[in-house]
Amino acid sequence: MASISSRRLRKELNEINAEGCPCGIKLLNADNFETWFFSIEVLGESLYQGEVFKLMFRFDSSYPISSPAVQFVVGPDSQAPIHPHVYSNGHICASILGNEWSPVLSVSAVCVTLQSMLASCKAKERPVDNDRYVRYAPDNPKKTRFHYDGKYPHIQHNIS
Amino acid sequence: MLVNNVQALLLSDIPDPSDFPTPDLRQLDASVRCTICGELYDAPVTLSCGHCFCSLCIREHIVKEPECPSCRKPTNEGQFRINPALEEVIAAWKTVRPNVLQLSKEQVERISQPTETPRRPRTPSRKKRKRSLTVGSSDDDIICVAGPSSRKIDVSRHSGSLSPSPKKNSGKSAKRKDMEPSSDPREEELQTEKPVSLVQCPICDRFVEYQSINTHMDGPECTSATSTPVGKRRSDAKGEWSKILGGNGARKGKNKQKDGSPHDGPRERIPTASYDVLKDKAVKDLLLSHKLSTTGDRKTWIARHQRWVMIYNANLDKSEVNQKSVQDLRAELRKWEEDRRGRKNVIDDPVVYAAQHHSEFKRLIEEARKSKDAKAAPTPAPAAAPSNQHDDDDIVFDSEEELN
Ligand SMILES: [Zn+2]
Ligand SMILES: [Zn+2]
Ligand SMILES: [Zn+2]
Repeated sequence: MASISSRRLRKELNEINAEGCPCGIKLLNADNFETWFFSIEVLGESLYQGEVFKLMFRFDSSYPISSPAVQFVVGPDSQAPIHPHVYSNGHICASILGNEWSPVLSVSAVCVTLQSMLASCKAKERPVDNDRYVRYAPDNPKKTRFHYDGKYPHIQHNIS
Repeated sequence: MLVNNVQALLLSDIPDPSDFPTPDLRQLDASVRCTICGELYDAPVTLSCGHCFCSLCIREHIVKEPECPSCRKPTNEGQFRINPALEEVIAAWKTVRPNVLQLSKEQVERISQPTETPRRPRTPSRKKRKRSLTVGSSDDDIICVAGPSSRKIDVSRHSGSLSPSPKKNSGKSAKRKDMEPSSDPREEELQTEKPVSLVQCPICDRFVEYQSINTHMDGPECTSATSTPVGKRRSDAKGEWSKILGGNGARKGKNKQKDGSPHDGPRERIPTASYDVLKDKAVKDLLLSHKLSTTGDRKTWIARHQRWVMIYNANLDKSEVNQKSVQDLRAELRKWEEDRRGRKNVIDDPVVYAAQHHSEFKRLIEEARKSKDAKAAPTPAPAAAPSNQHDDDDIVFDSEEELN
């Protein structure tokens, strides 16, 4: 099963082991090439001071051509950050995980992007359609078609 | 089983820039690697923006998104320019890499160890991956990594080697062949992968052992193939391919002396098909015309043909001497289908995993709380706030930075 995706993930793991994760991010678990877990916290001034979140990455065989499925883990010891683009079930509306994904991006790059998404947050609130979304959300966030085009007033991703 | 596979992969040697002990060599090794797959460029092609990728990698990508993965400039297959100069660099690097790796490690050992404490020198097989795979060691080791930008391709360096003229390398073929034995990791995989199952031959409908289907199809027992001795099957295949494609069917360097046929120009690329307008039978015929299996449903056929076109055309973006035989390409296609099947039914249960690394996560939560409490005391600002580290990265952060 040494597919291209596994090899690429293995290389990313090598890099993480050799150079460490970006600041504020730690690899919790990467026992296989299907699911990885990271802890993520925002360093410096932010609304999330003192909070640590858990990120789950799920990869399929088409990684990195296709994006990984990324979400915050909601469980007994971890919650999804309260943020206008993060649903309470941990699903994230971020263009980089959808139509802005590029195969030259990496797991580290996604972590850092999400970190800066949190760091730049001005108001801790849930997406306006949170309840509706969470009720019908699929298990895999990649099955959701998030709108990055401002269909919902709180989602104003800038697509260049 | 899954665990075994993973362990096998972890133990196997997957060459990677992090093998090198010094940043300059890591940089060098990274700069000849495709930023999509992370491997040394395989059939490198340059786009009009100057960014360079393995032909197969970029072909896969533009099916989804017709833009450069690095700079997002619109692109298409017509823009691809082959890069034989870079191919030669890769071939040379593959040859010297193990030596350079060993020398650099020995040098680092010499510098870091005073003569009075002689230790057994590290053998090249002792890798840094002996380190813990789960949590990155101490905080001192943590470096702020500026995402993928650090591995970005230097455009100016590569654009100079753009070459529109294809395949004029045959003179060097002998040398180049010797230089790359099985150093291509993908080739190694193909050789070790040995599925044992029966498949139905798409030509004669007989059931044949999976790994010998190619031999079978080209051999005498397959009814629609001419009854030539097995030893000559390559030239036989060549004839078939000439019929279909009007070009040279098999790897040139190997065949030239054997069959004595004149070289009639490069093989032609397979045009992409508009599957939507094709009836089932037409799709099937497409597969048969390339001697591909017709098992599965329409969706599988289309995926198979699409992949075949990519593999086949990408192979033609290599210097002729490096091109693989059609048999090898078929094996590659089958491996790809296996991988796909193997990965489809993996469904992870987040809850199960959530419990697994409870303790480590708990510790991090406590640390974070402590650091918040300690905040009352004046502490120096963090060296780098995440938003400042990545000014030079044009892909990842711009969209998110402008959220608010
Ligand atoms: Zn590649
Ligand atoms: Zn580009
Ligand atoms: Zn010239």
